[in-house]
Amino acid sequence: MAEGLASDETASLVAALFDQYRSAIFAYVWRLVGEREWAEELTQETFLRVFSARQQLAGVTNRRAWLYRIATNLCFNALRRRRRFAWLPWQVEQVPLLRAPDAAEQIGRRDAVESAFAALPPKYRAPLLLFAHYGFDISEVAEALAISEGAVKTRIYRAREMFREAYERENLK
Amino acid sequence: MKRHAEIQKLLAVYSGLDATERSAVDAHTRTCRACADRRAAYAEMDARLAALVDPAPPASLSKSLAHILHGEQSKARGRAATGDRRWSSRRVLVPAGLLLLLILSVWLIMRASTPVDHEIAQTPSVTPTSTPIALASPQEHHEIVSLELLSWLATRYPASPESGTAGYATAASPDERDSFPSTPAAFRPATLPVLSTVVAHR
Repeated sequence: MAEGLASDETASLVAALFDQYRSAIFAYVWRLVGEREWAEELTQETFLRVFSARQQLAGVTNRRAWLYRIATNLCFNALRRRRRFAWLPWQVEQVPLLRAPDAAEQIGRRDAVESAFAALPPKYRAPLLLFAHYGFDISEVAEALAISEGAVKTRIYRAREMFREAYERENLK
Repeated sequence: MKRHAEIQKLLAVYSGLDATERSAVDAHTRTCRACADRRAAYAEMDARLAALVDPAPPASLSKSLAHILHGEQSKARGRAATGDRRWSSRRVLVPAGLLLLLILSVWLIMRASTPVDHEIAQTPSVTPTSTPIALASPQEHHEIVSLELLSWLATRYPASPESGTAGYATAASPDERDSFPSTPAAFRPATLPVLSTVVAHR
């Protein structure tokens, strides 16, 4: 598939993907797995997978969706493994916020958003995050999660409803 | 009611709808207060989710990844170069090996089918022999050639009463006879090719 690209070109593509998406992938992975160090490992693994599969890059039409698909699969597999072997129930670590000089109300609202978002199961968190935060369209989300567009719509709808309920609970605290 | 549920699902992905779906949702929300409220709630949710600040990746991630990717790239280049060299060596060595094998096979076949002494085998016999010379053992070969040579010498140097010379078979003196090979056994195997040549050019 990548017959038209020399190995240097594919390596450059990987480097470009790394530069462009490392922050977003790290944040996405962190929001899915909930632990900073784990997110770092999985982000590293994501780009290593990309590098290993770089010969396929020339044939990939949507590289962003392809990259997120790799990251999502790694995260879901890692979460499944941990849940299977963990003695303690799995808990999402709160993603720390960048404490800009916001008003206290804004900080509180952001905390509530983060908490409500973290309360969603990863299966619903991922499509909502991709759609509402990263601006993926429905077909991209479907490609990134390897599910149908109909399934994407259903999951986003359920995710929104779960988020709304969780957000209301957070505001009542 | 079913229509209402469908519209609510579409509201969840409103920004991703095509023009037809969007106009259907817009028409519904103009008449349905609950769906209009839901649409407003989702729009607010989108704004909050979009405003989430992505945590910056640790510097160690960039460093370790750059190090690993660079190492992998070097390895990949090394593998590619080794692969190329291996391939180019293979392209030369395999045909050369096959050619060598072919030459060796041909040589072995020819060697197996070639008589021990090709010149002797092709030499017409002076006297018919019961043993084909090409199939003779070295000892038989030696005797056949010796007999042929003696026969030839006897005809080549017949007794000549006019000239008073003795033929090989009737040499007058032992000294004269000694100047000829006296017995077939006198012909050493080493002399056979020379003798064979003599017989062939007779």
